[in-house]
Amino acid sequence: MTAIALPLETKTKSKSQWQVVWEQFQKQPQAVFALLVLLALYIGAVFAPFLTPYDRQESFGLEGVRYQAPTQVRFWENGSLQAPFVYATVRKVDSQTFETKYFEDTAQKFPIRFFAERGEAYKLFGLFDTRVRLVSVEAPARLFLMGSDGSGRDIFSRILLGAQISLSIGFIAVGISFLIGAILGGLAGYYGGILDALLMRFAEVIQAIPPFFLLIALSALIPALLPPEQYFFGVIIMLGFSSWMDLAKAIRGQVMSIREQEFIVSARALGIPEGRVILRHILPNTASYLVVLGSITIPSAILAESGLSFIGRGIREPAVSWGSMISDITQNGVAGLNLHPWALAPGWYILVTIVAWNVLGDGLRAAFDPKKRR
Amino acid sequence: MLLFVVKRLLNIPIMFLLSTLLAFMIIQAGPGNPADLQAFGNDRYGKQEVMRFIAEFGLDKPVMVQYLEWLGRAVTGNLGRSLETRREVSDTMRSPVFNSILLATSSLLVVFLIATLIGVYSAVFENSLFDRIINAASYVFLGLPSFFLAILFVLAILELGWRGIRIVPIGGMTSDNFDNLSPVTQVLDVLWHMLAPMLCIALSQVALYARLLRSQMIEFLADDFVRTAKAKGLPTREVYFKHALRNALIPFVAGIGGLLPALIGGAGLVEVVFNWPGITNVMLNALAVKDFFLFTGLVSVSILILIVGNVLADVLLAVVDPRIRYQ
Repeated sequence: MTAIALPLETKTKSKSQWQVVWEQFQKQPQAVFALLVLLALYIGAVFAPFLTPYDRQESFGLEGVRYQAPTQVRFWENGSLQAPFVYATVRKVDSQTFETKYFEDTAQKFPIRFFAERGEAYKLFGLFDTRVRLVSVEAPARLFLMGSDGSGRDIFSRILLGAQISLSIGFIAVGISFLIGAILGGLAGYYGGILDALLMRFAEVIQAIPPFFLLIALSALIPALLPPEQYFFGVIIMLGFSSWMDLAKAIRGQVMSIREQEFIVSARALGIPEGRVILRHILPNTASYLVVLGSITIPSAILAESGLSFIGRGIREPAVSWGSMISDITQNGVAGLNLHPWALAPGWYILVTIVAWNVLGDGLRAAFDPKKRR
Repeated sequence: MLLFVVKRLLNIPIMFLLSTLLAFMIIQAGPGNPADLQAFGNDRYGKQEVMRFIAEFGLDKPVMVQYLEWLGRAVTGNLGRSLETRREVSDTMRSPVFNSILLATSSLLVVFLIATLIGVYSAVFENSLFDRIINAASYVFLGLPSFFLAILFVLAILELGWRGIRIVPIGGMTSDNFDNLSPVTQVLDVLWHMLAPMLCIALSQVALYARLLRSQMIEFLADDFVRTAKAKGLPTREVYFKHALRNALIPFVAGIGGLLPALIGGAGLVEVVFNWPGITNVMLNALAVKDFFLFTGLVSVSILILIVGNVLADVLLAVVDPRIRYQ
């Protein structure tokens, strides 16, 4: 009786919930692709100072550069393949329309330098002082991979550096609203009664203010003259404060249903302190739900930041985010927009990011849903 | 049923009271005050004028007192005067509120029309090429920030204008010669200006509602009563539109109440891009000059629309769907 090992048991290893979810997730190619896209974007943001040819405020406006079209990177000259190079650009003002036009000067050829030192020193990961950048060119040539904005700043560099704010803001703001939502929703769901009623009415009162107008009103609370870093945190706290209500309601519902299950009843019967019951037994059981909820909330926080920055009530100079870049080009009206459509590039980045987050979120939801197992 | 409606209606004043109080406190808590802004860069605006200004609007009183005074006047329809123009707030905001509601309701109609058609067809032809294209497109439209979509609209209009094709104007609500037009052409002029922002708001919402309706429809199409209807030999079209769609539309009919305020809030950025003289543009300006009373007036009207809309949605849902019973 002791030595009988059932072959079935030895072969099938039981899987943890997260292993099953990961397996299910991998079966959805579009969700995996979205994850890779997001990884690329976030890695780009982390390594932004190294990957970008220019600094965020490095402007060629004094040299008269305004809305220069994207620089063509060339590999061919006189029919032969060469290391990548660019031509310097010359600027000419049309004597009739007064429109500035840029032409390539094929006499001045500049090779693209890889891993060369250029510009001001920056700190990679906030640790190493270095001046090495992945790509750069010698002046007077300019490497505007996506063109320049109205102040003669490189759009590509500003997009990657702006991604540090645009992409992290979703995470941190959602982190804050999760914290508030988990605490208030958890308390309301666990204790019920008057506390529950009070907290939920409070959430409803905030939700009775249209969300966009609430954000606008909150944005007035941040003193305009704060240094950029503090201003950034002001915006994040504001985004977190205005978006915890739905999370709190959802967590409350989850906690309420878990609270009634046998293992919680028995945990309480064993005399385990309430704080421990909440932290060790109830909250971990809402984890899968929270992951899915987070993947839905992050893109909406990113959208909210971009919208706020667009109307000039979010991230502002000298800091840069994708929304503030678009605000920049439409500040003096939209009339000439079609002359420099490349300046809209940050908007496409927002689009790709949000779509990737949404696809990832749908993939996660399907992976967690036992009814959709494949 | 009646008790439920009464209960929900009683909720309106309480919610309105508390949320306007919250809004009032947020607005007043911000740094800087309107008197200093008036004095800024104006030599003739001395200390005395600042004091008089503060006293005139009661800005030196505690926030709670100010709120109660404001509330006392607000229930009689008097929302105070604008700090900037000294005009009655209720007069100042009449036309922006009207303009925003006009834009939002017409977008709503377009949303319902397009979303219903798309939702039904992609549910009936589930997983067809059409359904897949719509599904992919809905991801794109959900991912497009509304202001960016509006800018793309403007870009397209400009690009066409460059080629000599003038479809619609890129902004504003009326033409320069508006005052000289006859009433009929005035209406047409506004509609003409409204076309682009309206489509833009609608497009950013259609994706969401078409997807919702699609999943509702798919559920009902697999239901027994639909199979029975088909088995009876009813024409397919009748089964789809009379049996399945009517049921699938229930949450949407009820959703009208909630959708309108959502659109008024969500339309904000589109209004900014198209320079539509609606709530958002006035609100942003009021905030910039710390025009407390104008801002509070606009926020409380939007709060009222939102609360009433939500209650309306609840009541409609209970009326339309007898399965929902409230205690």
